[in-house]
Amino acid sequence: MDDIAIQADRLGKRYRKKWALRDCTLQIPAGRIAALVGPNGAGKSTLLHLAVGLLRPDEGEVRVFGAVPRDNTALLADIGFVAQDTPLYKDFTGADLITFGARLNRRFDTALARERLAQLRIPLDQAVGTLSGGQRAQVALTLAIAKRPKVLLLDEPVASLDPLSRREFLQALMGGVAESGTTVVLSSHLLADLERICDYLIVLQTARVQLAGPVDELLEAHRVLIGPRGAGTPGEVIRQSHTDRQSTLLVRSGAEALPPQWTVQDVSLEDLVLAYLANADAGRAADLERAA
Amino acid sequence: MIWLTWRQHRREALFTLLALAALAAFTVPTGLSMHRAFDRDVAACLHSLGTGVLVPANGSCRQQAGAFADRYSAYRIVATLLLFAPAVIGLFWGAPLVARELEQQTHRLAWTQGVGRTRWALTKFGLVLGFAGLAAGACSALLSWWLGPLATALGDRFEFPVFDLAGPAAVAYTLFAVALGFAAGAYRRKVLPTMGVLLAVFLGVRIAVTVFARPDYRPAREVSVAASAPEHYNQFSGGWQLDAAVRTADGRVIHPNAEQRCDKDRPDEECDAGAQNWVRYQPADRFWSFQYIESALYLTGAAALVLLALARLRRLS
Repeated sequence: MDDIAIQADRLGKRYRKKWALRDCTLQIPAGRIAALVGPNGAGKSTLLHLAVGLLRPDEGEVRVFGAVPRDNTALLADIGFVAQDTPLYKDFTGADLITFGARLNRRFDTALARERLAQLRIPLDQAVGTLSGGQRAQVALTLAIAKRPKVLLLDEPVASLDPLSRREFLQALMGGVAESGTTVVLSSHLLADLERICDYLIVLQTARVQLAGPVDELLEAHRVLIGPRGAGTPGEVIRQSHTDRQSTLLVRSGAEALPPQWTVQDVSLEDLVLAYLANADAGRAADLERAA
Repeated sequence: MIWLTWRQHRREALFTLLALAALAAFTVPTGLSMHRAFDRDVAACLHSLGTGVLVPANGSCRQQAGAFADRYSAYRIVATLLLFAPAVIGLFWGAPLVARELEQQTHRLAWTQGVGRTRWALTKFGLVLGFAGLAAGACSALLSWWLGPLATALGDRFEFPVFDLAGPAAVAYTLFAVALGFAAGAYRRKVLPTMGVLLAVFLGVRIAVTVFARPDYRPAREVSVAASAPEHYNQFSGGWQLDAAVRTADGRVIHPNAEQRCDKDRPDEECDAGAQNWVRYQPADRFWSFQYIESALYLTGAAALVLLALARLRRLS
């Protein structure tokens, strides 16, 4: 379980002059369900496209199971990828798409794909362009899962789905990868979509990684402290808010003893993500001020 | 990949085969009747006339050949329409191949499967070019047979548009147009703009090559005959008459684009001064070398465009 599925090293991608992703260094261990969270335009799609070789880095490199993915057919067979808005050939039927997967991948589980679509009551003989958005997303996921990939990359897989379909989609996903030990990376601009299933978190904002790590360790390492205003701040403060008398701090801290005037609370994952995103915003504003 | 290519292009393939079948349904019966009429009315005269550059001026076959051509010249309109076949094949086979994938984002599906984008491109390019080439070859062979009698009767086998329709060059145009569609699609990334680029570039190249380059593939020959002589340039030789004029004995042009016959019984100032009928032409036996030169030109262009498209796809982010 200590294998690294995806390793990025000072990875950067630029569109003309604007960096879509910069200085991205992270490791996603194999077997994790990783949530890639950040607002629109933070660089989530860019990171995923770099990992599947659709994009070429302008700086640094990304490796998937130790190999560079660009036009690497051996590696591409091990990566299941579902692009944003789940592009499919609209005039293909479900059966056509399964044949497509089988013809273009050496190790494609046709039986599994058929079985999954049958379970989801998705007709095999109907052009996928006539299916609902949720069904299309399921077809795309099925194609990716039937590759029996070692790593599954899903770019905003639930963005276009209604809440009920979201739940069904994620349930189907977890069912599909539960026993295979597949590493999964899902991106979303809403943590709420992924909170229930992920055990690894990466927060991206303004083209940079703000936070990355196993969910339990991140929760362990952060605390909300409530105490009188003006008391000394223990640990590294990520985010603070104040009323006239009271300060609320989100701190990253070790196990050191806290001064007794602080009340300690556990932090929720959502608060943690919001704090880092807000922090990045504030940092950017400060940068802009300094530059001006 | 072969299956995918077939699945994505089977509709175009079917339409192409239907179009070829329709063309055959029209050309075979009309062609048979043209060949019969030609053999009956014109062939003997043209045979006795021969294919020399100069032939007796009194014994020409103009009357028979002219009558035959008048009777069937309406068919030539069909042939002229087929001049656009390479562009149409380019528009529907070449232009969408890359551009539609990029426009509809399906390249993100296709290029992330267990075949890389290079093999994807090589297979699709190869199969589509192969099929388009076969279709164009069938069309050109059919037209070459069908247009034969009319082209002989009009003496314009070597000239536009027969040269462009009935020979290997027609296949080369088609491959060029299709390859142009690949390359333009890889750069423009949307189907309609790609089609626009393809039409503009293809027509521009075709017109430029036909008008400016083709007449000079090999140095033209000239022939001058005294207007009073009993011979003149053989318009049924199958050569390509580039220019003609009535000139004075020392080479000055009196009447451009004209031929003059002098009659000894009717005195004429120009005839007395030694007027000559002058013709600049490409001889008939160069037809195939011209076809090959033109084909080589377009095939080289097609190969360059395929390489350009491949390089672009490999770099494409």
